[in-house]
Amino acid sequence: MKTSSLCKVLNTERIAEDIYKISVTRPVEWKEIKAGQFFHIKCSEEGKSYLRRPISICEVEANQLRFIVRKSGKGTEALCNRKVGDDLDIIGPLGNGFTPTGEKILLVGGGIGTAPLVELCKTIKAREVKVLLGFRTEPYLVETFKKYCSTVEVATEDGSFGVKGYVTALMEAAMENSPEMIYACGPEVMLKQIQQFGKEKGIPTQLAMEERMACGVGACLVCSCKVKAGDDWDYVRTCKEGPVFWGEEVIFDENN
Amino acid sequence: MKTIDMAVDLKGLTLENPIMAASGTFGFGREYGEYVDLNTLGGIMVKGLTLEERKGNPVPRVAETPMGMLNSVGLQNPGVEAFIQEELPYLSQFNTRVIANINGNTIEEYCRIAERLSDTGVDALELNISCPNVKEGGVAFGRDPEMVYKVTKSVREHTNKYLIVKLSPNVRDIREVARAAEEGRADCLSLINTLIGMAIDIEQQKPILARGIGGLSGPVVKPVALRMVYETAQTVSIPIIGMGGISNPNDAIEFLLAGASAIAVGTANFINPFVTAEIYEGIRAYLERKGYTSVKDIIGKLKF
Repeated sequence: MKTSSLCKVLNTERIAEDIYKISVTRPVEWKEIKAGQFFHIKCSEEGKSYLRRPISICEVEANQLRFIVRKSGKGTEALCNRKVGDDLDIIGPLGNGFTPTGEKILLVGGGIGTAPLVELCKTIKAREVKVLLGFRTEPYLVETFKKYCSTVEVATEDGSFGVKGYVTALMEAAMENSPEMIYACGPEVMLKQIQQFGKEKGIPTQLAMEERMACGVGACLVCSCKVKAGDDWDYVRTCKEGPVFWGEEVIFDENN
Repeated sequence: MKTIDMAVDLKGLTLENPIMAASGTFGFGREYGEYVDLNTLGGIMVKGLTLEERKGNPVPRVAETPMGMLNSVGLQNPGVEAFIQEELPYLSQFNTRVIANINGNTIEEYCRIAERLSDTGVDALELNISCPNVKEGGVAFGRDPEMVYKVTKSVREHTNKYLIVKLSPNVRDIREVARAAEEGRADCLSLINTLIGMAIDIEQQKPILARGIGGLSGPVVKPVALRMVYETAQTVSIPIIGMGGISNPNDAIEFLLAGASAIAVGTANFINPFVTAEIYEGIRAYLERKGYTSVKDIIGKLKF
C-alpha cells in the first residue's frame, strides 16, 4: 500500500519575484523519483486552500527534495509561506516522468516550467546537452543548470537578461548540433511551438504538460489532456498517463 | 476491545460497514486501491456509466472554491460494455459491494443500461438523475418529481437489481423528489449529488470552468446535504445513503444520526486518500466510547 508522507521543510528561499525554492526532507519510502514526476502537496493545514497542489520535482538529493513554486493563488501562496520545520503532507511521486534517450539532446524550459528540467539535466546520461531557458523578465535557476550543463542560453521577453524575445527563437540556432531529442516544459503556447518545430525537423519531443488537478492519482478525471488515438482523439489523465507526453501524441487547443 | 457490529442492512442490500466511496470520485477503484484496502469499504459506487463511451467536457474541468471544489467532468467513461469486460472483474475480487452508477439521455437509455447490468456481478444500480454536467438527461430528470417517478418506475421494470436513486439537491423540495422515487419503487435513495455552482477568473473575466458551470462538492456543501438527508429520512421509509462533504468520522456520524443507513465519501478522498479507513476507525471508536454494540443503534437516532 502507498502512504502519504510528512516531509519537514528544511529551507524556503525566494529566488525571483513570486518564485520560491522549497527544500524538504526526503522520506526513505520514496526510492525512485524520475525527472518530470510530480508530488501532490497539501499546502495549508489551516484551510487556506482546499485541494492539494501538484508540484513537479526540481531536484532529488539523497536526503532532500527541492521544489520550485510560483505563488499564483491561495494554495501556492500558503505553500511558499510555510516555515522551516513545518511538516508538509505529500503524496507521490506521481505520474510518468521523462524517458531519457539519445546522445545529443536539447532541453527547453519556459518560466516555472524550467524547474522539472533541472533534475533531467542532472541525471540524463547524454553526451551533449544544451539548455534553452525563457523568462518574462527576471531569470532563475540559470546557475543551477550551469552546474550540470556547459551550454545554457537564456531569453527574456523584455531583454533584461540574455537574448530579447521568446525562448523558441533560440531553437533554430541550436539545430547546429543536430539534437536527437527535445525535452520541454513551459506555457502551452511554447509547447505547441516546440511540437510543431520537432515535427518540421523530424526530432521527437517530450512535453511536460500542466493541467488543473484534484485527486492527482487518476480517479477524478478533471485533468484531461487531449491526445491522438488512431484516427480519433481521446482524453487521457495528465496526472496518470502524463504529465510527460510524446509531442506527437498531444492535441493542443487551436485557440492558443 | 469490545466487538462492535459495523454491518448495516439497506433492506435488500447488506454492507459489511456503512462506509462507501461516492461515484465519480473513486474511478473504478484501481487508483485508490493502491492507498486503501478496498476490502475494508462497505461499497464502491463506480464512475458514472453511459451506454456508449463518453469523452466528457473540455478542460478546465475543476475550480477550487472555499472549502470545496467545482467539477465539470461531464461523465467521461468507457461505456457500460468496457466496464463489464475490463473493470468489473477487477472490482469483483474484493469483498465489497459494487454499485454501478448509471446515466442516460432518455428513459430508454437508462432502461437499456440497467438491463445490460442485470446479469452481471454488480450488487446494485445507482440511478444518476442528478448529474449537472451534461446537456441532456442528468439533472433534468432529477428536478421534476413526475420525471423522477417515471424514470425510476421504468428502470425498476427492467432490472431485478437493488435500485438506488441518486437525488439532486438542485430542486424545489427534496421531499417531493424523494417521495416520487419511493413511489417509483426505488429500494434506496442516495443524496446529495453536487450543487450547481460557478467561479470566475476576474483577470480574464471568464468562467474558470470551460463549460461555465459545474458541480460543487466538498465540506462547503455538508450542512445542506445533512439537512436534506434529515428531511428525506423524515419523509420516506426506504433507506438512505448520505453523502455531501463528508470528510471525517464526525461528519459521517452526523449523517447516520440524521437518518442515513450508510454514507459515501467523495471529494475528501482527493485531499486524503486514507480518509475512508480513518472514518471507519473513528465511527468504531465513537460507538465504543458511547457504549453501543452496533452501528445500527445510532441510525436516525437524532434527539430533539
